Amino acid sequence: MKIIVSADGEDLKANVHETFGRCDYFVIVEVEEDKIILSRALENKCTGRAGGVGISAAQLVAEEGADIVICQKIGPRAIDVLSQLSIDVYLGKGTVEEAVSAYLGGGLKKIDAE
Amino acid sequence: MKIAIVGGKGGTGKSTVSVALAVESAKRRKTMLVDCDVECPNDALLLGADLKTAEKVKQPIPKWDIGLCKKCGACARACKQDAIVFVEGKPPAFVSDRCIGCGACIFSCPASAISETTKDIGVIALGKSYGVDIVSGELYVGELASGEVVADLRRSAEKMECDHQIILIDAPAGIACPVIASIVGVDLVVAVTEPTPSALHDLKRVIHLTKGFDIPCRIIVNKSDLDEGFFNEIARYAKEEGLDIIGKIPYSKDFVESTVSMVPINRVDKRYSVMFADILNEILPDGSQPPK
Repeated sequence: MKIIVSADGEDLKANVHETFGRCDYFVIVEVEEDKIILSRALENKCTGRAGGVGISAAQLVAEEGADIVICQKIGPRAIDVLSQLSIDVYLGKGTVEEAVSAYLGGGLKKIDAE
Repeated sequence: MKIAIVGGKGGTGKSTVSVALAVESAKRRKTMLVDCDVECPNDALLLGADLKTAEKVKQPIPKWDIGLCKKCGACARACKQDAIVFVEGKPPAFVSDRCIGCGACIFSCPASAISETTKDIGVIALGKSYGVDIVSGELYVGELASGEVVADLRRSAEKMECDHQIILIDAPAGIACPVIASIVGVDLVVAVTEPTPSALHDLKRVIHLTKGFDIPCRIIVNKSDLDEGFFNEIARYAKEEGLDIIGKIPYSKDFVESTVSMVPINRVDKRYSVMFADILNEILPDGSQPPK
């Protein structure tokens, strides 16, 4: 399973970014049997744009093959696009590693498009 | 006779002038005021009028038959609004509020998997105040197709015209789609400007647009005593373009009072009633019949 986390840095020790579309990096975490087996960072090149970043960021993580997304906050358009692309979104905090562990432990809240 | 009030720059006084002219005009003849500034329609507020919603404005949007979709992404590539997100292997995702209804996606689909449906993007509302019949359009927050709402509003207003002799159209700022939709088919454009560099800059653009449609044009300078030097610059430009300045409105806090109290300026002080009656006489030279 591929979990993509919006983050302020490039590795598992980075914090979950407070937004989805305007985060600095997406940390892509591969999980097998509830264990993190691999992680890498993808620079979010959408941040410089004036508008529509949520939509572009949603496209970016979908193209990376995300099964689920973890972020602190997400806009209505981004959640709408992710939902249409069958990608679930969970709200998480702390480091990327903590957030992924919390998800694997069933401790994160899933949010749905309106 | 249809008269559009434009400005180019925002805040030059289009709505104030439109409302004042409408109130003056309604004393003489049956008058309709069409508020085409659909992103912030204020004429009803300035007239202290209550509006009742008459109809909704709809815009075409695409609808996918996922069973027919080949997941080729042609629709997303055709969309210039970035309203369609395509990811390899998945059916396209659609962002409704970015769609302006151009139909390019429907045309581009090789599998004919996209049909047309509609979404509501605004309303048309009616009211009456100081003898003026008000037809007002409003674009919903977050929607983009203001030109579509204005075009619909103009069509609705035309259906409501019975024996209206004067139709004043209050256009939005700028020179884009909703302004074009506001001025098509009018007999006269009145550009309201002010003696500031940005207002003159935008005035030139809106005059250029008006000339492109071959519509006669006049100029009103609002807050005309703000800067004499710059007023002269506007006067020079008007002369070069062969355009008459048919009104000079001095700066006054009475206009603030008018806005705050939701009473048109003509009713705040008699001298404004005279001022706008004079401007109306310039627009309608014989005071009663439209000029030919």
